[in-house]
Amino acid sequence: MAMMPKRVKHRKEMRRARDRKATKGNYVAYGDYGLQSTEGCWLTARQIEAGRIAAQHYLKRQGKIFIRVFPDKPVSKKPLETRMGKGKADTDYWAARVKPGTVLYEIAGVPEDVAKRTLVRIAMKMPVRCRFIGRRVTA
Amino acid sequence: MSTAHPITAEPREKTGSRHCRRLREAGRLPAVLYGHKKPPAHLSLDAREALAHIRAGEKVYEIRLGGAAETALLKDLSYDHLGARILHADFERVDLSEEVTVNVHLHLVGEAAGLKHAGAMLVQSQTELAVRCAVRDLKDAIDVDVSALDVGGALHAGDVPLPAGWTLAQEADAVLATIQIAKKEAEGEAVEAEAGEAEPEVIAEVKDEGEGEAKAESKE
Repeated sequence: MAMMPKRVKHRKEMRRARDRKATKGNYVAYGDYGLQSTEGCWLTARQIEAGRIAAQHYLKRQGKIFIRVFPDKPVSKKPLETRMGKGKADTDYWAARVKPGTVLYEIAGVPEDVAKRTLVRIAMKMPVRCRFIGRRVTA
Repeated sequence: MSTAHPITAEPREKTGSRHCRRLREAGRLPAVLYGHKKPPAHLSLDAREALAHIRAGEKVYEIRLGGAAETALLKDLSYDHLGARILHADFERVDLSEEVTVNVHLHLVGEAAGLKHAGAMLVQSQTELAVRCAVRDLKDAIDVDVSALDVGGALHAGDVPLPAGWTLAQEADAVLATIQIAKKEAEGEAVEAEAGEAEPEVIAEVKDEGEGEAKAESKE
């Protein structure tokens, strides 16, 4: 696991609702192009790291990748062959809450075709359907 | 000098999300026109015409409503959650001589000198520049020449040559674009993280311990 918080307020967390649409973090803010999730999920730290590695291997030393999500949610899992009860289990992995519309990765400093091919490679590592987007028109 | 782009509007009598949705399905774009201490006017625009203007980055419009025409500035846009569709547009009434603060699109032109180095890239951190000027002097975009920009150099807001009558409405030392050299592939990063994988520090527990000690002391 590559990414996890340094400090947390509570060791374990409740699951919470996951059916809302993204109202923030849903546009390209830092780079020129982005990869946007069209579905909701808990994106694990391993999946985020897999996407980063896929992009880095394809880009070699070109461009800059921005990761827009951070796995700050602890997800617990009971060990195998354990009876129910006895309290909430220990944290198994860390996940980022992704809503439909959340921008997962952004890329800057490369032409559009290279950005598209890179983000397609990242999308293959994602557990959700994604789409390629550019910067928004603003007023 | 800016030209007010003419756009034909119809009054929108029924407001609310359901009516707006029906309007959009009928190929219209809901909009509102406000300002100058007049009551707000709810409008519907032809979506195809309006979106073509908006996507071209145009700022100043001449809104033709009934027999009258009003000059207006595009103030805000509402998007759906995916940012794929523009749902609503806000226009503000302005006079051509009025001074307004507007975010103008930045177009970087020219091949930066620093890009000739291996691994160099141009990172544009801001795509807009906040300026203050009279509406008649407003442009839809401003071209900035970056051909002199070298590796490690940065284009600051204060460096942008502004047309006559324009003043900068943001911090002059804000970085607009930089030439950066891509770092070597950080394979060590993941390894380090793997090695240093540990439980994060829990703030609440530290606080509880502190409180517990304080209580014990007060009992004594």
